[in-house]
Amino acid sequence: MLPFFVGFYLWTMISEKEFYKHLIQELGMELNDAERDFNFRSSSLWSSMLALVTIASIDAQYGVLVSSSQMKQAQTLGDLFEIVVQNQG
Amino acid sequence: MILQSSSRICGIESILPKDQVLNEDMGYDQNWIDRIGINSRYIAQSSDRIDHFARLASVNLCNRLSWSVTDIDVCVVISQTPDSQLPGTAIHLQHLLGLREDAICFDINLGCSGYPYGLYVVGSLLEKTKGKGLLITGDFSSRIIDPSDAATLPIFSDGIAVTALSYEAESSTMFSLHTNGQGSKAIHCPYQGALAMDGMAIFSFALAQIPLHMNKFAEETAIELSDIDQVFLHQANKMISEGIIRRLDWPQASFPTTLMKYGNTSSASIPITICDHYTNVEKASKQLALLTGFGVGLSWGSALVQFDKDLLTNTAFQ
Repeated sequence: MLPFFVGFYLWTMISEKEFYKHLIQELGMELNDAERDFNFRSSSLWSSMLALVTIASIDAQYGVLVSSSQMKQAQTLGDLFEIVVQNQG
Repeated sequence: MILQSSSRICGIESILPKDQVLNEDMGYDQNWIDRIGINSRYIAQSSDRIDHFARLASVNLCNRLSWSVTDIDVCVVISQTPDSQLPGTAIHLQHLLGLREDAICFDINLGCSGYPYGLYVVGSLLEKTKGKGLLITGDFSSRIIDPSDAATLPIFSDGIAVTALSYEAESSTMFSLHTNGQGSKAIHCPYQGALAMDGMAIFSFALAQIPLHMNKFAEETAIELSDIDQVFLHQANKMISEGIIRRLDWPQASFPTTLMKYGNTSSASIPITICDHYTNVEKASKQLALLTGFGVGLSWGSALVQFDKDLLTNTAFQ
């Protein structure tokens, strides 16, 4: 049986991957880009509309509100995940 | 702070331009159309005037109510897109409708939060005059939106609503009204410029502030949630409406919407939705409704009103 902290770590990893996959799908981007370091602002699809869609999707899926200033600072999917974890706490 | 006025909403007449625009026919991003939940919108022609729309709707409403215009003590217009910078639209209406010279007529510059504010202002004035009043709310938002702004343009529709109120000693409408000018840049329009909206800031404000405000208002008025028959939210866009409803977690409440049909009609969205709702649903006696508006300012407010079975509602197209 896995120690608790290992199991928790694995659960977090899966959640994180699911988070990236969910966002990429919501944004209509390539699934290959569902990675921590993916800079969504570099996508040709990125717009102020998608920024709002991102906040709305995170709120709808995870019940976590990302503020406008937090969203403006985030560059990568990993940045967003960390904001969500932080705001959840 | 809970405010109170003794007035009754006797009727509401909504009036929209006859020209309908479908977002899906305009080449807007389909994902965006789905997210905002708005397809059909109504756009005024450049020659259309708010005071003429308001006059037509006011005359229709007064006729339906068998009111004489000389009975009107108060006429308040809430709009951010008036026909002229001065004088105010209510001044023009005094003349167009033939209201008495001692009728109190003035404009208020408010947007999507304007309806509860207007109900309170007119209701408060009627407590002094003990008479009847008209509240006109709404905008021709197309006048101030940059036609190349593909994020904002598909959201807004032009339209106004006229609400007829009368003083009634035994009637009690409760209000809670708020402003935070620190957020003034979230939605702003410079003099003779175009409307600029920070969609993320508005979304964050609406979801963080409005459910808290509504819950606090319900608590302070000691109203049982199960006693509220309908909640009429300002029709901002689908993402905001769904977010507020999800965070409120009022499973028993009904939230009528007209976003798909009429889009965001600014301070007219609540009365337009009330008209639409009662076109489709038979009126029952003593319907308790919570009306919540929010937007430019930032500002927000709620009114807890009771609709009677004889409430007159109508939607017209001009």
